[in-house]
Parts: sequence; structure tokens; C-alpha cells
Amino acid sequence: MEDKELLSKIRNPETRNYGFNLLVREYQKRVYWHIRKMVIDHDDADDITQDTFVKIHKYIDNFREDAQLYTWIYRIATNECLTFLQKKKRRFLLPIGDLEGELTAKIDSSPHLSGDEIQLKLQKALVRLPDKQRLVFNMKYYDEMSYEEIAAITETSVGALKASYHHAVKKIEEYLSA
Amino acid sequence: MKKLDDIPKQHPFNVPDDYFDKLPGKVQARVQGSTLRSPAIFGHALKYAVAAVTVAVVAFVWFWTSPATQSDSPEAILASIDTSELVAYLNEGDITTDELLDELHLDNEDVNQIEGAVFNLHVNDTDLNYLLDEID
Repeated sequence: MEDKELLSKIRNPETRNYGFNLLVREYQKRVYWHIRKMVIDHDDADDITQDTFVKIHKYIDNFREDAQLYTWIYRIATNECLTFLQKKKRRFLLPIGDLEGELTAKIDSSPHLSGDEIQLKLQKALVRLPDKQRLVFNMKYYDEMSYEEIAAITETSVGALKASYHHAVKKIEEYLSA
Repeated sequence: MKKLDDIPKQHPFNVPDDYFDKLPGKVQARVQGSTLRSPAIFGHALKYAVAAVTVAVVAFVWFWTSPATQSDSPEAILASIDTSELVAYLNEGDITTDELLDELHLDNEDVNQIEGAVFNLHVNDTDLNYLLDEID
């Protein structure tokens, strides 16, 4: 279903619930995997995904359609992720490296991860990156989004994104070669 | 050098069976008047916030006892008192942690110094749990 039709159903009080359900079904996998790649743990990703859709439901009437719907949705999911990770760091009152340690431990121990050694090593390389750089990397490498799409979501310039991605790749390749 | 292009582009994550079949229902339940689930870390946030306040109070007492310039100021007087005596006084007195915090007028410099002291304390989980049990 086209986004325009989805929005029309949501904004009609008689079909709001039905329309919103369709929106969730349409975007749930993209939102979930976007979040999951950042927080690693399935239960955390589940919570944040639900929080994201609750927020979408709350603010959908304010969506001005001056951007693509998926850009707006991704932006909410991204902010929820970054907020979650920031809160986790503050909760520990410990240096950033310790959250990296926790995420690395989840890669090693989570029941909802399976992959060969190099895939797991890549994930460990990724959690060493700053959150925003990791986010950009995921969207470019895994989701194969254009720099323009990523710029609209992160509200960062294309030039800065290119530099960030290039730097991330270099750091990852150094880690994988170690 | 290992190149990213040499690695198959796939992630190692998976989900429980039927997860995406059930997710829309869970979301609908939340938006249709169920009590909002707290974010994953809320339950931990309160526990650690209380622990952080306790550690901050202890750090502040420590801060007060740091060498001070010679003067008759309250800080100078407190600086001359042994830390263990101050802590014992607080434990035996009727002052609660909340009352103590209410009386503190911390400016940004104070807060930064306390955060720095707390940051360097390296409190482990065992000590943190002990502190939580001791909080009044």
C-alpha cells in the first residue's frame, strides 16, 4: 500500500486503528533490524521497536509529509536507539568502553545470534565505533541507503557522512586484520 | 589487510519464531490504552539513581575533607574533621539522604567535582548493592 493511502486511513478516525496496524506491518522489519543492529540484544530491540511505534502513533498527526514517511519513521527509531544507548552509558557511570564490553559480551553469548566467526568479529568491530558512526555504517553497508537518504534521516551533510563511512570502513578493516 | 568486500554482507542476528507475527498485536495493545511499558532500563535506572546519589553524598563528604585554605569557613572546619567521623555522624544522626541533598546548594563546579570523584570510585556491583541496602 502506498504511504499516502496508509496516512489517509490513519487520519480517518474510523479506520485509524486498521491503518496504523497496516503501517506497523509494513515497517516493522525495517525498524526492528535497524534498531537490532545497534543494540545487539533482541529483548532491548523489541522494547525499543515498540517504543518507536508508540511514538509514531502519538505523533503521526503532526507528520507534515515534507519528507518521506520512512525517513520520518527511521528518524524516530534512530533517536530512540541513541537515547537508549546514552542512558545505558549514564546508568553505568562508567567510561564508554564498558558499554562496548557489554555489547561485545552479548555478541558472544546471545541465543539470538548465529553466524560464522568473521561475521561475529565484524559485529565486535562495529560496537567499537561511536554510536552515530555505527549508525551511518549500518545504513550504508547493510541497508544500502544512499548518502542523501541517510542525510535526511540523520540531518547530517552528505560530505560528513562520506567521511564518517570511509573512516568507519578503515577502522573495521584494521580490526578484522588484527 | 582483510577487506570488507571479502566478507558476505549478512548479519548474524535472528529472532524468535513468530516474532513479527505477534509484534503488531503487542504494539496495538500498548497504543490502545494499556499501561505503557517502561523502557527496558527504567527498572534499573531508579536503582542506580539511588546508588549514584549515595555515592555522590559520600564523595561530597570526601570533597569537604580535602585540604582547604586556612580560614574560618565551614569548609575549612569540616576539612579538619576525619572522614570516618563525618560518615559516622551522618549514620548515627537523624539526617536522611534526602534531607542532606535538600540542604546542599551545589553549583556547576561542585557537580563537576562530584561527578569526577564518583567517576573514579569504580564501584562494583557488590558494593553498589551494599550501598543500596544501607540507604535510608
